[in-house]
Amino acid sequence: MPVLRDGIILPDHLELLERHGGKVALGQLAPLSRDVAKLELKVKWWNEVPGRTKKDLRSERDSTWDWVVMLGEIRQRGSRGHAWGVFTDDGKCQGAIIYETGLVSALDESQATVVCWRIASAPKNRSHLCNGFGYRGVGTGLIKLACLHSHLAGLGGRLTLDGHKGDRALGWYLNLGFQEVSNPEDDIIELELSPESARSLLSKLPGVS
Amino acid sequence: MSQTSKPVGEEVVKAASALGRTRQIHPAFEGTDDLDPLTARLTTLMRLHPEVTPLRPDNLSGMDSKAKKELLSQFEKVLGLTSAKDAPVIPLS
Repeated sequence: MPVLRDGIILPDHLELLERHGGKVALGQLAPLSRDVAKLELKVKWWNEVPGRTKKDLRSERDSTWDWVVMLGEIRQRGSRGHAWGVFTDDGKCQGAIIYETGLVSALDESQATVVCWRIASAPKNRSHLCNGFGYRGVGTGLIKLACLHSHLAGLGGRLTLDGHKGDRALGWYLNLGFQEVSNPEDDIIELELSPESARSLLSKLPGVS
Repeated sequence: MSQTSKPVGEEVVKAASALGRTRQIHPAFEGTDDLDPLTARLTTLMRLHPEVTPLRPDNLSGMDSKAKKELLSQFEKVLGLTSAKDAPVIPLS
């Protein structure tokens, strides 16, 4: 079970739903390593989508993300920086998240929040790219992880991130309970999960009230 | 023959963040990087939730590890910061 240096204990698994067959599977949460970022997230993820070429996948916003560089940068943030991957029994990384604790809330500047810098599910898990394969629940599980970390750090479950106008993810964030806060750049919308919405999102986790 | 040198800083180019735009660190977390992890966590909790205890971060330097753990338990109890050790799996729904 991930026990952080400051004593916070995070869950070690999240439940996923197999698209093919509908069975519930467990994904293991583990720190995102440089090797996984370099070999899986940058390369394998984009070569393993049935029926799709790398060229087809260029329209996915994260197809150009350099997880190795981002991982290096979040590690420079010291104990506030965190990067996790979710791994299935076959050893494959099904999704990843990079977030930072202790930044200023967008909804209430007097409060502290967790900022989710990057989150992604493996392309083969995305229904618009590859229906009938992979897993559901990866992204939601990783959002819950960051939200839970915010709760356990005393930040009320606040979670902040940037969405992009026109992206599929924007509606998904709003459905999870995020609210639009600001429009810091032309195509960017800043969203935040309030403590009330965080409680609702985490309501199925035992002991979170 | 004299050597020429470039002015200091001329070749320094500030790299853009790969993560995104600059965001401000909350004051409760400032200056905690040099503290041990438990003291850092207590310091931020005491700054964020001063209503939990009459003690202040300055008081931590005079406390031993046992007293700090007891203080952390007090924060966990009052703020409902339930440990995930009893809930190791994030459920699907």
